[in-house]
Amino acid sequence: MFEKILIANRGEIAVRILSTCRKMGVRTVAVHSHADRGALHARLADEAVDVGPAPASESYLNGERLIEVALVTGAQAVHPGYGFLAENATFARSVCEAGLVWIGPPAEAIAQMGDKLSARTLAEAAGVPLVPGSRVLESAKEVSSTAQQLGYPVLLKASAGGGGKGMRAVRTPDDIEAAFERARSEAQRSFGCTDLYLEKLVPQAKHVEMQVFSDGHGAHLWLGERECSIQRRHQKLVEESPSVVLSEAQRRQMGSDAVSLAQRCGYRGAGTVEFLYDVQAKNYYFLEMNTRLQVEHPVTEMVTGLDLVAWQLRVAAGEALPLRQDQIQRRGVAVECRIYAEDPLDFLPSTGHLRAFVPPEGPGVRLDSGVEQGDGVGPYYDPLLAKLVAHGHDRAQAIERLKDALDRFAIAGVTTNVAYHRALLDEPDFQAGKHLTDFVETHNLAVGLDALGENEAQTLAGALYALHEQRERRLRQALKATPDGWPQGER
Amino acid sequence: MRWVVTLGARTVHLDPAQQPPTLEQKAVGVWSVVLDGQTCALTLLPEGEGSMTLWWRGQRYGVRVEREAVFALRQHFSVKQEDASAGHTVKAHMPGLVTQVKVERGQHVGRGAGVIVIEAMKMENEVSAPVAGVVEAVDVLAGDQVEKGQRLCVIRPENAKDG
Repeated sequence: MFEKILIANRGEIAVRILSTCRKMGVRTVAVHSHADRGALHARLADEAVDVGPAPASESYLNGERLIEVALVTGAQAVHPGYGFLAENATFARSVCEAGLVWIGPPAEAIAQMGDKLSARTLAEAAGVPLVPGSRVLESAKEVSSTAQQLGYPVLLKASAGGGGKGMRAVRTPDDIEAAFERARSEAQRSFGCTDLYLEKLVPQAKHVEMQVFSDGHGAHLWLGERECSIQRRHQKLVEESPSVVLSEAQRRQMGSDAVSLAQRCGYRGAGTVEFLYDVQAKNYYFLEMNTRLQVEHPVTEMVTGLDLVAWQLRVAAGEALPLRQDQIQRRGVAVECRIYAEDPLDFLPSTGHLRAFVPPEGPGVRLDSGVEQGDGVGPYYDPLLAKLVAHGHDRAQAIERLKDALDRFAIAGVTTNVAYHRALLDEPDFQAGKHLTDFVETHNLAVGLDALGENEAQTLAGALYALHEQRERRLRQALKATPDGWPQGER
Repeated sequence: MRWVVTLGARTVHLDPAQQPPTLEQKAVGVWSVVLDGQTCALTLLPEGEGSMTLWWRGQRYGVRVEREAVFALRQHFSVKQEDASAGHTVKAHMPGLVTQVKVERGQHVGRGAGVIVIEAMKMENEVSAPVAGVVEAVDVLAGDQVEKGQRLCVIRPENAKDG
């Protein structure tokens, strides 16, 4: 096992990786930008090194500087977390060339899966079902004739795409021209590559993904699926495992499909194969493969009882996976809420200082947080503050535990989306498992005070009245303590 | 005596027959109270001048606790918030980086015209003019980091009288 590793990330994922390292006796080097000086991940690490100014491009994305820090501090390996450089094949290669170990898949696998079209080709070769689609299309005219063949609505996608950039839904032939131009310029700006292709749009879909794990010794395992249909702006808000729509037979089939793909691209480490689940046809189709640890990995950890970061370290250190496929057990249901520093309704980010941050405790509840009380939340990075996860023997219990944990979580000083999560967990479609990828756009939830009934509002107001009275009483007593009724120092 | 609690946009007339709920202190400023059988955390922060802020389920609400008569008086004398200058101040609706300032002082702008572009979380957001008029002041430059609610520029409506 490694003696020391560098964690090339920040926030909750850096803290998450640190905690496993500590358990395994691996020393840690954290990196931080000027803006993250004194941030939780830097406080918790054995060593912390400032790698540059606040903008990520000058700090967390400065690969050369990160490798230099790893070498100078004597770290033997680099864990990229997710985001930033985690799926940058060039960085993965540079890390290895510098004589360090990359805690992630081979650079070739990252590159193959990073290009959506080459990933589709690989998936097809591995026998994984695909959404009907096209190759690279050069002109709006070509898009138009291909769309005619596929049948509307279609989805125009950038080959180098990700995070919804360069992606456009096209519902009628009239919209092709404009959609093509816009997707093309967005793809150029975001990825420096204008390659576009078409996929048939699946109207009623769920997002279901399969966790895979491979070692360098020929073992490829699937650990179970996660459903992440609740999304806003193509970013996930709520994840759960297992998915309510998969039958056991489908789950096994999806697992073996994901494993075939991992085998086909010579995978190593933790990976996730994302699928679109067509609710009407009860089929699933390959979307893409994420060649890194996912944000929502705790959901899988709570259901399987495994530590995926520990497995990542072991595999990177050359060990074989400790379990066989038939030894992987899944118990109960886990649901996770991503707590973002953002308005619960318009999703705009918020900043400030955490004047209170008192997490709830309870059976089956886990919190992965990148912040503590007193910490600042700035505008520079992803607004994810923490992930709150609850496990139960069934979905209803997991949801009840999560609702309770959200309600007892005191956060003040920075607006978060807790109220949205709280309303969502009560929503009948979600509770029935009927939620689709368009849930956020199609459901107008009443959140916070707007969702509070008259009786609860009375109780809340009564509590505020009592606290107000208590404060007044204390002020009056302080006044009485002075002989002539004037506050001290003003006579 | 009857009391009124104003909570954000909601006004609650306290029922004098109702027993005050049981509160348990969890940390400095943090209390737990049972709402409809469910234990909830609430954080109450003093904001000076005797006012308080409630943080509940991740959101912030201004709180005012007053006697019913005081509340009624305040309602009676309160002036409409929409005074003439209120609509003309263009504020940042999110924290972020100003990437583009599209107007300058003295320029005429139409209602809905883009005036400033703010980038946050890799998204560009155009702030538009709430009224047609003349740009009276521009407070930011491209490259500035702005806070939510910060004044970006001021627009004097076309048909307003000269001050």
